[in-house]
Amino acid sequence: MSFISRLEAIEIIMSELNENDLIISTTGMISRELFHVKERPGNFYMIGSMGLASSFGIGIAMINNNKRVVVLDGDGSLLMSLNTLPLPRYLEISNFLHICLDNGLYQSTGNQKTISNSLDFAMIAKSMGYENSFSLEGDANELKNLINDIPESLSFINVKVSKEQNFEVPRVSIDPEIISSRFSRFCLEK
Amino acid sequence: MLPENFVKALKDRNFLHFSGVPDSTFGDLFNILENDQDLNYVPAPKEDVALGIASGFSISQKKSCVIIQNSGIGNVVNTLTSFNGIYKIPVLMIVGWRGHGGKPNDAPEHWIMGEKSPDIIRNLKLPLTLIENEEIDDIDFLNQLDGLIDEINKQNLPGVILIKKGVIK
Repeated sequence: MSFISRLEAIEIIMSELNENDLIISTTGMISRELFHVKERPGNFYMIGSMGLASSFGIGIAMINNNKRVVVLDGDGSLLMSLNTLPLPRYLEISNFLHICLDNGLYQSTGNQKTISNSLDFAMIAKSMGYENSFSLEGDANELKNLINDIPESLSFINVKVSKEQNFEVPRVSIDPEIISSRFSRFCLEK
Repeated sequence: MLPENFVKALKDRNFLHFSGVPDSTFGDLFNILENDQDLNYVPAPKEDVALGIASGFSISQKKSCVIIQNSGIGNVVNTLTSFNGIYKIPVLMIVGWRGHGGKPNDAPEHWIMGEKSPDIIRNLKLPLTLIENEEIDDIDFLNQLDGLIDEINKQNLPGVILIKKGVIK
């Protein structure tokens, strides 16, 4: 069975999420593809500071507990921030959906391998206190159903995606200061 | 400056949300933060995580502080430059200053960073104020703090108050 691409996974995720979800996307191709698939003021494209999406998302989730925070991580950035995984449970955060799009590569730097194929992120997340933790083998329907059914909670999903790269996807072209100011306003909306 | 006076001054200025990594420079300060019901303090495993969390508070329109030791400055440089600096996310960074003046002051692991800490922050072009006089009175301390907060607000950037060991008793 072949895995869906990261771009397809992002399309599925974005079609199933809530309108008012606060989405933080990690550095590199994931932010570019999110920008390409569904641009919205509730998206925070983190173009630098690889590995910081989850800690930034935790701070946001603690203050905005009327909304769900969705962190779109990659396997490379998640490996950089494993020390952050125990915090949501410790802080009793329940409006947090952490998704890792795992292609086993640092793709934007030229397809170097990560070490993700020798470990089980979902098992790690479970042991770090995530209430629900799933590992998907890149099947479109499974992902769609899971995102649709997942309760408001502290949850983690690892999605294995293919190594396919879409070279047409542009860079995030919005000024970082604008990304910040409109996201900040979006947080305050109902 | 007593740690409880410092915390009160921060509360008076509407800083209620904190994240950090403990530092003995600040004496009882961390215990006070953890036990004060009005305050939200998140213990972070590393300094960049603390800055990420505090930035999450800040973008949610809550004034936030990071409290760390200067040995952790290196761990936040990328976050300050490729994140807070370009997205303009302000945070008050309270940094304990071990190894002030460099060798032979303090323990060997603090010599180099103790000497370089102010230069690193200046090189990043971030607002900075230094508290070097252990006997500084509270009014002067708070004037410097307020000057820094003004600069943080004006520039929309993180700013650093670097506090020598011995100032907070």
